[in-house]
Amino acid sequence: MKLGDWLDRRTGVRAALRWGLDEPVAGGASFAYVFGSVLAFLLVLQIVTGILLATAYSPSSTDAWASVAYIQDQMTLGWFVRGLHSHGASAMVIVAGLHLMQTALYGAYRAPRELNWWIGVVMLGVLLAFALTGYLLPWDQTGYWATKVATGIAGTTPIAGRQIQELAQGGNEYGNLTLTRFFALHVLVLPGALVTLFALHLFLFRRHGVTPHWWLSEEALAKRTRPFWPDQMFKDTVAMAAVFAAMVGITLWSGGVSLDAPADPSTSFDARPEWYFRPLFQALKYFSGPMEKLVALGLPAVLGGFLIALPLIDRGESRSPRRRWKQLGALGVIAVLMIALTAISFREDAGDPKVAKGKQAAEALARRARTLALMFGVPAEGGTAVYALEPGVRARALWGEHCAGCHQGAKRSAPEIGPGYNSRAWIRDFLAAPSGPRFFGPTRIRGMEPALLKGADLDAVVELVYAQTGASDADKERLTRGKSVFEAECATCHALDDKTEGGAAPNLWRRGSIETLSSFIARPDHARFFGKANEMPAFFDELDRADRRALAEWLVSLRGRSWR
Amino acid sequence: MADEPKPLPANRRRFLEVATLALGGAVSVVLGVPLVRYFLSPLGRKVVSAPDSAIDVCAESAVPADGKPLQVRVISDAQRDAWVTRERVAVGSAWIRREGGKVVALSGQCPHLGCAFSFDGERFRCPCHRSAFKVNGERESGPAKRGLDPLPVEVVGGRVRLRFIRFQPDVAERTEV
Repeated sequence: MKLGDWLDRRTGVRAALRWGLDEPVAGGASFAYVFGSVLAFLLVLQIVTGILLATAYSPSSTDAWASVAYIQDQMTLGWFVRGLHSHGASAMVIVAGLHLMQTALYGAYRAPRELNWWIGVVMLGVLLAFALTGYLLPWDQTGYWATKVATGIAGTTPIAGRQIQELAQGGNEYGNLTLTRFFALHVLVLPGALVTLFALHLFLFRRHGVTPHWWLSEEALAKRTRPFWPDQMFKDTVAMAAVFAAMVGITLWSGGVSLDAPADPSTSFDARPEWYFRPLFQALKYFSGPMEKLVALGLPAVLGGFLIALPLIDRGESRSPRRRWKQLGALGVIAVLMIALTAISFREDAGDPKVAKGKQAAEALARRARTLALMFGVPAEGGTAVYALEPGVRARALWGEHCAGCHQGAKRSAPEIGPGYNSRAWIRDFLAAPSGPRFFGPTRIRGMEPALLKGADLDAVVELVYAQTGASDADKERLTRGKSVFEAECATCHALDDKTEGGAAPNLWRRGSIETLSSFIARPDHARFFGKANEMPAFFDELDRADRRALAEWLVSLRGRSWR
Repeated sequence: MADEPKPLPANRRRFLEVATLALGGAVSVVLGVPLVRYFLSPLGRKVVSAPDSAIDVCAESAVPADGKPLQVRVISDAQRDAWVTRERVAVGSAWIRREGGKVVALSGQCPHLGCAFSFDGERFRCPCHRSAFKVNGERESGPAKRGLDPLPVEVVGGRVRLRFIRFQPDVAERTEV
């Protein structure tokens, strides 16, 4: 204990610990007093998980969604840390509500504890501000659109509405400054405020002690009074562990918290706020026009005002709930109304097929965006640019830029490529007229004569060429026949093996497969393909390997469509 | 707070103390392990990556005929940096020169601690800790433990391409990182 002594002599840590742990709990330990401690635990949990999230989060309109998707899908247990942080926020709101109810029931807002009650009410407001600012940070569809509604409501404030809105969103529109300001509020201003208020709250609490049961006399209370450690601490720890277990359970069961598709101002999105704003969300549905604005701004003000006023309107002698039924009744009615509005809101959503459909579509889009982000990373242009990475989308863009000019439309200078390319019907048409206008007609390549094959022989060769594309539905019997017909009719010019180069015509080995098309796009003048007869530009330098492959994949996907 | 609180029976007190510490410890472990694993997530992971292919840096004709080195920017076609993919990203610099009939390249990072160095007309000098190297990369003086790092070069169709490799700094043995 030498180190302990050394430290104690310099800091007085033992006395401080004793002061902390030996606090007398009037009337003895009770589960009624656990909520404050659970909130303190949750605050620490939120700070720790919040710091960890901040180590990988980037508050910019191009990077925010991408960095959250990175946390969620690529960092070790990122989904778990993010899930805990989000469910921790919900837990704080619930436990703060219970804390408020318990202290109100016990009359803890009354003199001499009014000031501490007011601090608590302000802390509740800070919690909601945390929720509001945190909801936007992922910059996903839900957060973006729900927060737009919130700042829109702020914008309807009389006189300075527009200014308030511009201050909140950092300018005329949602953008980088909206995120940086929300981020600064969420990780600097609000934590500073909450921790300061928490310290004051704790200080005043220690000054006045717990507000004990109202049904015991002073002497009976004194007889049952025990120090905080270990009785009350045990009960607090049990409650913390229970809340924590519930949070971990929900996080594991739900796979963390959802991340929607990246915010896209060009879409319509039926956003829902976080569940604890549902009462207000639902209440607003019943009003329209000027009344809507009045309710949106007035309802929270009235509720807050009522909580602030509670110590002032309850100055009776007794702390017995029976003597305070009016005040407690009003509080109860408010609680029941809020729960009812929340329940109605969720039931309306559950019964609305449009909401279910919208949710399904949103989830599918989110999966698509997150899969693309996981595979390719998010382009520097921002979250919504991931869709351009989808092989088909990217390939179509490349096609339009590099290929369509020659291979599509009336002014073609090369064979037509479109839906049904390399399908059986395409091969059949090609064999019938290789120099026809849809094939080599626009080029100078004239080496191939129309095939004179008919019936089963033609079918067999078509099948053989078709099988080269990698199609899995090629007919085996026809292939065998096709090989012998090929030997007799085609092999003078065309090879069909993986090595011959420099033949009179392209080697048809795996012609039309993803690999061969990729190589062909890179070097159509390769001796394996057209060699000296080639007229198509080589894209080896212009397109990188991934782009050539994307293009090849897309060309192969055309095979499944019908050739007209 | 009138009376001194009455103590609990010793065995009950002991039980509550142990149970509280055990429960608190369990919560700390269940919480702490995932949080630490999350924090260690970037360890040993290729968070920033670029394709391994050769990078076109300049025309062969641009390399001075007299053996003097030419500094070139090494710009990768693509780079993935954690959540972002970018095109045309500068990843470093290199020095290209002719040696005999061949084109050779040296990495632009000082093998001491990775500073960018310059050429004073005769030798390479690193401004950070005064390491000096001959024009062929051989170490002359200063704290560097090895000569400048050569990079694999090829000349294709009149263009100089190189593979940009990063080496462990401040060790005598040249090892890729």
